[in-house]
Amino acid sequence: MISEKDIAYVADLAKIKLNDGEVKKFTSDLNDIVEYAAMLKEVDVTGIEPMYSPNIDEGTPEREDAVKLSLTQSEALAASRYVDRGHFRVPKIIEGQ
Amino acid sequence: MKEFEAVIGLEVHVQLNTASKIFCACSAEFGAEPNSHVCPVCMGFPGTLPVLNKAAADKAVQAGLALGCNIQKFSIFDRKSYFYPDLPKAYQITQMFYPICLGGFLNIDTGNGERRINLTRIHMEEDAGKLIHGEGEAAGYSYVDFNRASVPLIEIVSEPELRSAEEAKLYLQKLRTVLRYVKVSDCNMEEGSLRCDANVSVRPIGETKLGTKVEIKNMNSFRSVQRAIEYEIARQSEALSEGGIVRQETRLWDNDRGITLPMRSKENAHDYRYFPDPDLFPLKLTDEKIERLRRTIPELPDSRKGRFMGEYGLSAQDADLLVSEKDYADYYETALKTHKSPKGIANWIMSELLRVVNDKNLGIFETGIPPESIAKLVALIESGAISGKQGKEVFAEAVKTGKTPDAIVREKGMSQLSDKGELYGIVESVIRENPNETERFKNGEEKLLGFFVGLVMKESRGKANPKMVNDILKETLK
Repeated sequence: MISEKDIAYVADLAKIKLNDGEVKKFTSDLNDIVEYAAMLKEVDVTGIEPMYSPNIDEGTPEREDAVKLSLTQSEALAASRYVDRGHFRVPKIIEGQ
Repeated sequence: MKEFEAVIGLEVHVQLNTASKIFCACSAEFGAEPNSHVCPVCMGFPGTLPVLNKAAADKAVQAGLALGCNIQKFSIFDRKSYFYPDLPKAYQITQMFYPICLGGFLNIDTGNGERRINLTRIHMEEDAGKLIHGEGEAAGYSYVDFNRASVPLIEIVSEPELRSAEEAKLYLQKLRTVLRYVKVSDCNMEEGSLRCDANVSVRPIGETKLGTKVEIKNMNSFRSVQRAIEYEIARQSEALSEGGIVRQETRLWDNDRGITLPMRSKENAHDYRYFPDPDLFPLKLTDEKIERLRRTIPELPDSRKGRFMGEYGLSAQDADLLVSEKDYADYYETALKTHKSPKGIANWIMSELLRVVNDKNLGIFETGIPPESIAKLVALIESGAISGKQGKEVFAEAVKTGKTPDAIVREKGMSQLSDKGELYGIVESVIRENPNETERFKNGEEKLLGFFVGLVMKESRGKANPKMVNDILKETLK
């Protein structure tokens, strides 16, 4: 069972603010979803390898190690309103101080 | 105070020296203009898809082979989710559950004999961007450069088998040497292409259970790794012997103050919600490919050291120095092909050539003295054609001009006088002209030998072969 505490925790991890009503709603919604998915537990999977990917036979495609043109600095920065001397500017974050 | 022993495990991040990034074709080069090696993929724009760089996977396998790992034919990329401004997608692509290499080991030479340190695993992942923290007026801001975002890394995790700060340093240095042999990284700690976190705990000697571990970060040199671990062992031992406890936490090394400080971070910041990245299929390796990469692995330092001692009669210490960089060992063995004097050439490389290499911060093949020249120089000295002192002059001139030893000796008219008949002639005339000293010498004043040697050298204008002069004088004055 997913509790309201779990929902608050997940919302905090995802940096989403939820009011009390939303916490209640998502608790019930998510429990419905988990309960529905729990039907899979009825299937006997003894001896069956988990399917990590639909392309298990070939494996991931690879590319040669060749450099292609990147964005220019101004193109790279164009989508942000907060830029300074070639950098993206963000509120100061120093973990640990 | 009770006696404690330390239990240390290292997590080492190594930047692979590929041309392009791990999941896109941007340049992975260090030191470019900020945000000029970026594209929609490494900046995490919606709708973009990662494609694995073949060379990054190959280099991860080569590192694993050089470290005796069990290469996994099936590995998976996972997402590690957290919010931080240097992480554009808000997740890092890494390998949590099925890494590319398991096991492996590294031998370190502790001075009390060799110790085998086992590895847990090696996995592949992408690097984060770089944050610069503003100061002064900009103190409220951090500045983000995504050039480093998605540069390929391997993380090499050791078992908690290191027992001292010194061993941790030796492990790191050896790891660097081996990875440089297989040319997967330049492993430069100052530039950040080799980074190390340490897990440190202590326990009373005799105890078998592990103590509470503390993770230390932010060490930027071999020296600071050693100092940080030493500090941490002392701090934890003191806390425990005073009846206190060690808190499980992450601490940052403050290099200027020489202490570790607890890192403040949110309680749940380390719930990374790993899950397989649906954008990347599993990485599959065939036996053929692993074998092909195995054939690229050169003779590694441990084996080469043993061979240098056995085949060339070098001491362990000399062999250690010569195999510490693959280029040194290659240079040495190339020189031996020209003149087979294993100890003579080793001495010239270690005393003269490596001084130039270190002073000028050059590669050993870049000093202007190719291996053939050092060999030729040693041959000239050993044959008596020039003296050891002249050899140093020739060496200095060769560093300056890039000329061969033969040419320098010829131009400077340096060749040493080693003609026996001519030397006898000079010795005899010197003895004839100094009957008093000759008499005194014969009566036991042996320190006068130097006086005669000096006169012969003067007579020959410094060219006489000093060893031969000594021998002839002793013989004639008998």
